[in-house]
Amino acid sequence: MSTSLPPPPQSNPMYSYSTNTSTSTISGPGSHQRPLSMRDSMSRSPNPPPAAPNGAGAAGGGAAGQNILDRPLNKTRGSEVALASWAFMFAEIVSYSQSRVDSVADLEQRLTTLGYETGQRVLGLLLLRSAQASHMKDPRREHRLIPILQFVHTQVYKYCFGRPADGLERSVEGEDEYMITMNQPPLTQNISIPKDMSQLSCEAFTAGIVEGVLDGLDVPARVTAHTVSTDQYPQRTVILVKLDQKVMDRETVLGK
Amino acid sequence: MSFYLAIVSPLDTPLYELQFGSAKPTATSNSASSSTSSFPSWSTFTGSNGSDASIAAAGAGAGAGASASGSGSTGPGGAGGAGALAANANANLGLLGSGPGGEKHLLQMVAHASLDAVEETSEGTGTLYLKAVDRHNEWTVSAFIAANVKLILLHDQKNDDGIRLFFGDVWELYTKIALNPFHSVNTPIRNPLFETRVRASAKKFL
Repeated sequence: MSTSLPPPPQSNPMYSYSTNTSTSTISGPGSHQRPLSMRDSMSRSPNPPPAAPNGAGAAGGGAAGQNILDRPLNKTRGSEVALASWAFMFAEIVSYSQSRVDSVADLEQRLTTLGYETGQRVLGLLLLRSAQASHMKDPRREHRLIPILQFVHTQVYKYCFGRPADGLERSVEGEDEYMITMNQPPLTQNISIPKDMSQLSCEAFTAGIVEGVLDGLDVPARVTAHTVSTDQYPQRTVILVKLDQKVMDRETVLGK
Repeated sequence: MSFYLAIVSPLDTPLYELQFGSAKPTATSNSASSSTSSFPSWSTFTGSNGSDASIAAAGAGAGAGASASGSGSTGPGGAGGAGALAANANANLGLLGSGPGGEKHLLQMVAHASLDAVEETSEGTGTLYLKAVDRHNEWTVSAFIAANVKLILLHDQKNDDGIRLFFGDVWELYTKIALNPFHSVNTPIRNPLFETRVRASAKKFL
């Protein structure tokens, strides 16, 4: 770790983030060393505080001092996260969330919100990468319902979990309900739900990812996760997508 | 050649705005300056008859009457209608005031007025790059659907390929910003390096 890191240009949350992760020894004028919470960054006043003497772009040195705009976006080789690390972090997320809620529904809501934030970013990244793979020649996204759901089922699941989902079906109960099933969801495979919380499914996080992706593709939906165990797959999880009426109306207008 | 770029959040609030000139035609004069003089002038909004504020104000009463009675476009009514249009334009401009600040508001207005057209167009197609979705006087509005946000560019010359590549660059920059956990889709972008990068890519492609 380089010791001659310049101070962050200003106390923008973004810089605080990039430096907080790298080192805690630097101290520059106007630099926040305390970790900012998400709420902090959202409720900031529109006028940023005056910049520190070091101008923007002066960040040199190693990768730790780089601005986030300088970091490559598509360096994926060797940057996969181990499942063990994920399991540990997710366990912390769940227990942290649980200490701040008083019902199972609230807990699921919290996990869904986290997943939603993830989904929004996953979508942007996936679309950007596929567009860049074709050198920005006619960048596209899916705009019809079924291809969108297939995109979630295949691309998004593959990106997040390493393999596509096991099933995509339309509910028999309603035209606007679709189900994405996964027999052994990898994110939550190490989680055992206590008996008194049998309603809980930690896959609510996945539901949030799906909801975030769908919302980004202009398909608002209410997405929930349910554990529907079978003898063969006790952890089989169904992500239930209940589409907004607006989506169904638009599909009717666009036709076949 | 002048441009105005806006990044618009899902809630239709501007996250980032930038107006700049092009480096291509007169590479010597404006390398990084957003010389406001290169922007279309106010007069383009005050009607073709070149009416100034006082004339338009005088015509405002009669013109308003004419347009209220069903936009009668015959004879003097037509002239009154034109006057009313000019008066309306002038009234808007009067609120904003002239000068660089006012110009920015006007550009912002044009960009946001095109959002309906952008959404209408994007519903029926899968392409992310929507070229020339809207026109306003000499400005053409092109848009890019970057997942959650929309990139809107006002330009006065046709340059499809350049604009597409420019959008691609800005999209990548935005994605990098958006991946930051301290950034939400509705956080305005205040990274000074972002502007530097956008200007650099504008220089390259526009």
